[in-house]
Amino acid sequence: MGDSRYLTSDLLLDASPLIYLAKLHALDVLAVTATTVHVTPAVLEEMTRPQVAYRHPDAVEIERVVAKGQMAVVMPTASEQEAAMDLERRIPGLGSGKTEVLSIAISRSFTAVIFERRARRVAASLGVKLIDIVELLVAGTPDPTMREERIVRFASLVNMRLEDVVALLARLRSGRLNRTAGRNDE
Amino acid sequence: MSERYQVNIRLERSLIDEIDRLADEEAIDRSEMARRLLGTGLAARRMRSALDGFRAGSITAWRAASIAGVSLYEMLDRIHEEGIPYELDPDILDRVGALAGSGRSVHEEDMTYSVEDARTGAASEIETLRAQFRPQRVAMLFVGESSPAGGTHFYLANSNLFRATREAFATAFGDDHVADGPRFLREFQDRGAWLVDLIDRPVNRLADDEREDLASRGVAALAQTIGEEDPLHLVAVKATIDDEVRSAADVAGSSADLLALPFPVRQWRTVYVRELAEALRRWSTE
Repeated sequence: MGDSRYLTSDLLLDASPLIYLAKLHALDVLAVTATTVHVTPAVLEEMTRPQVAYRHPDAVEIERVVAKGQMAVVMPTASEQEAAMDLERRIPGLGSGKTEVLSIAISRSFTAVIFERRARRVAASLGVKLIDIVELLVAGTPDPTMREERIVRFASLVNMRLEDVVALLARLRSGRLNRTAGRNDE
Repeated sequence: MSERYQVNIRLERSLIDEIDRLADEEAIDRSEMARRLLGTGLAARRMRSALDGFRAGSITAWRAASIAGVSLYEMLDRIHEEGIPYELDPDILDRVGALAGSGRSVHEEDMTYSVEDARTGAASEIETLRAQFRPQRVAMLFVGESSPAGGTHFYLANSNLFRATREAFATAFGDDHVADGPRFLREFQDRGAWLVDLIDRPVNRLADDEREDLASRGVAALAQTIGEEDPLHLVAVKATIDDEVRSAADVAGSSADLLALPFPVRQWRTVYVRELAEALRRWSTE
């Protein structure tokens, strides 16, 4: 049984969400949204290999989180590797890193964070539990002002449609208003 | 050095001259320049293929990076520059609503307030927004003078131009058939309309001569846009820039017709709405 303070017990991050959280300086959301945060070796390698990392300061933030033990590297078993290769054959375009994330999420019932809509649909059809980056930002940022700022910055980074940004902010705002109203009633 | 093979290809004289000119500039021989150009061209082709695949949803960002031969960090930057939008899941609003402690629906007053939030947070992102609302096929290219200095903009759904244009569409097609609020931006796009600026910086606090000078210099960039988009209709949103828009169309060799409208403030708002509505009705039956 998971700890109810968290969104999920085990969270498995794909590479793109990790980069976006680092770009937003929002890796702190991980510690308050999941009991344990995992990455695959392939994801970590893609993020932090020296020839890439020296050009991208975000990589340093990711390495720091791993060094602090706030993110665990999960090694795929032989059967998970086999399942990943099978997925790669069946669903071209996902790539080996993504199929490894999916196969581990399936076999260990981890909740996955995946960037691309198509990959999320594939994951959902395979029974993988998913959390969106937006949900991580909302649930993991207690300060309402910073939360909205992060959502707007993320929206800008990923070219989110204006009407989507507007609707998201409206939901956040209305949630805050409702909670405030609830406190006043008490 | 990797092994090299002899390849013979026939090239136009003009292409050879251009390669020779570039080779002279860099003090290298023709073969070396041709090799470098091929390398750059192939890299650009790989990147285009990767971006197209990602946009179509057939490959992931990671796979796209691998095809393009760049890091995932660089690929995400290129995806951003291309304006490829992040696709939210259909139920994300409900999930976020639940997290934020609310299940109520989005009301119009929330929308208005939140557009203001979005404006404040993303004022520097006008060009990104403009790219997001670019139609696949531009039928009507609206040309404004520049983004206003006051922080409002058509693509932030909070300007005089936005409200008057929405009113003109509602007059032409019926109020019930035209979306209201920020959703109108998507409708504007779906109807093949796109707004660009003649000048790339705010001019509404500049002197007239400075403003005219910048407008003249904006013609070349506008001509390029017209050449690329090949619109059927051009709409100059301010009477004083119609000469520049006409010049840009001439430079681009465009045969688009030009509708020159006054900027929709004060008494000119009614004229703008009426004339644009008439043109929209006419164009919709062509």
